[in-house]
Amino acid sequence: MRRRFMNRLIFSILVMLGVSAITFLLMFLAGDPAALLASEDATAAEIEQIRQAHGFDRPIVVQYLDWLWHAVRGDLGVSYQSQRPALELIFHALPNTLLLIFSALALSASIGVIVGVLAATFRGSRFDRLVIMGSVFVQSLPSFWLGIVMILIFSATLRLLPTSGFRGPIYLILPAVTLATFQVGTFARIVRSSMLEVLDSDFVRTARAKGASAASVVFGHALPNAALPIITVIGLELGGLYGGAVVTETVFGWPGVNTLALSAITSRDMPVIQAFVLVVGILVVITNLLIDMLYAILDPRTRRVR
Amino acid sequence: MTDVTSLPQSPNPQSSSTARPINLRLLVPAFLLGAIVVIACLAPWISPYGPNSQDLSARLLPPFWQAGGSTRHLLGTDDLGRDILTRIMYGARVSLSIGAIAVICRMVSGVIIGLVAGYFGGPILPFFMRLGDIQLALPTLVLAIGVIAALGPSTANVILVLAITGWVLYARLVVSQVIVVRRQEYIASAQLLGASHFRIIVKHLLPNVIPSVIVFASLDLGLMMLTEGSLSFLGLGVQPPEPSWGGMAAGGRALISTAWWIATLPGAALVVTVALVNVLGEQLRDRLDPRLDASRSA
Repeated sequence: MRRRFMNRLIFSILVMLGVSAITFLLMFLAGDPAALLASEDATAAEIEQIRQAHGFDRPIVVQYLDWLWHAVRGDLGVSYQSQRPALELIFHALPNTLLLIFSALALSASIGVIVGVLAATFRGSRFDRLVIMGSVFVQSLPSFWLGIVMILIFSATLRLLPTSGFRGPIYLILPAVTLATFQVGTFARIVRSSMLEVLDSDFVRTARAKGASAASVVFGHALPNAALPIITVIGLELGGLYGGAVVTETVFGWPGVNTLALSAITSRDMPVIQAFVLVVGILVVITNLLIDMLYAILDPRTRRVR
Repeated sequence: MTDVTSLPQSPNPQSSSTARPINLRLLVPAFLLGAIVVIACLAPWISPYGPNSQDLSARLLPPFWQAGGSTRHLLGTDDLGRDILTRIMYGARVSLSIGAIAVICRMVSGVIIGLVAGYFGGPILPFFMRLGDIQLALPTLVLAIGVIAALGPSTANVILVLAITGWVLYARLVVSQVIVVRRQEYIASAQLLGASHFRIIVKHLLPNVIPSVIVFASLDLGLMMLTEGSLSFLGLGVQPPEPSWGGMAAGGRALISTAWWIATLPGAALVVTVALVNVLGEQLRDRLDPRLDASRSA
């Protein structure tokens, strides 16, 4: 068990290093970093001076290791725009993004589990077919459109909820629902198929034969055994949520890291962009690591094998 | 998640596909989607307006069923007096073509890498699989922000981003099947008969993976169209004034409380098209490859 954890940990660190290399290379994709730093009317000599002052004339591997060494100590450079440390800006906005993502996850996972369990329990019923169709439909909804429609209905027409910003819990409702909608379909489907498999198994038949109540069979016997694939999918979907939050934050003017990164694009503020990509990548890797460990803890079979 | 343990079957299960009666659930969405494609292709001949032709005397007209609307502009006009229906029809060209090109790029690169890595194994396989793990740590839209911040927004860069974030999904799908097929006796026989690696890959491995790849790609198309819409909405994709559904929605956002049709109708076109694509993909999966599970990360 411990060896498995160690292997996963080393693997995760390697992936993080890979993510850091991609992040670093973004800077060079943007063109000559010295020219980007210099003012627009800088002469070739001035740009050369900046190149030497910032060490852009060194071999790329040296530059990467230097950058990495600074990154490990929390220094990802200074924002061109605000002259504040890029990482500080990201960490300032990150709690808002995490709040949005985890609210959406809690919402979509709970609705997805309830709907999926009911659909599997009443397999072939009208409700079951509705769930299958509904999950295809919500996966066809672009979140920018859903967000705009929700603003149209709940803010512009009914005047119930605020359109943008974050000045209290009520501001969380529309963004979280928008972000959660796509994932509800995925969760409902995976819970349904995973429950169907378990409901067909011998131990469920035995429990039914013993005279256990329907609720006890579904929630006591079947659901815990169907939980493992569900947890895996929740882990996979978190990556999607980090990405999906980009659009949701923009629609609702949510003050998170994605809004920050998008505004950095216009000014080509590469240190902020790099800090953003690196932090999200590391968060995804850590999430996957935690899910994997949770999986190993919850499933006694993986423990015995290793 | 894709099923990695499934055994290869004959790529063409004749018995089940020919015996089935004509399926309305397959035909109706196929017909509607075909109609959208035809309208997109014929947009310049169907519409009396150009996608960017402005008519400042007909600004912010509502759709025809609302008070003040006219049948000359069926779905109304935007703040520059451009006809919304015309722009939606032209937007269909953008959405469908970028979606299709992106899927083809992802599919071709992923299948080639998957076939080669899976067949030869050795150090190539773990190299590409680890590269894929790194790739998957970066959500598509997040990597898109990074790449587009560096390269600048354009249609070509959208396709580039979608291709480099997607090859790994196809490669994994292909590898999972190739490493099983590779051990089959007929591959060994082909090798003994002196068939080249290229011939074995193309003649014996490729046909095995094609059905599941096609199913996966059809389910991927809807996702690519959604992602293109999102990128254009964020201003990172197709640039205005070229009409794209995402870009139109972004442009009409500020007017949502006075002119709801500008921002919502182009998105509705995307919803309908993607829903049709997804329904077709599901039908295709049930027919060709029931083993492939559709639920996967976005």
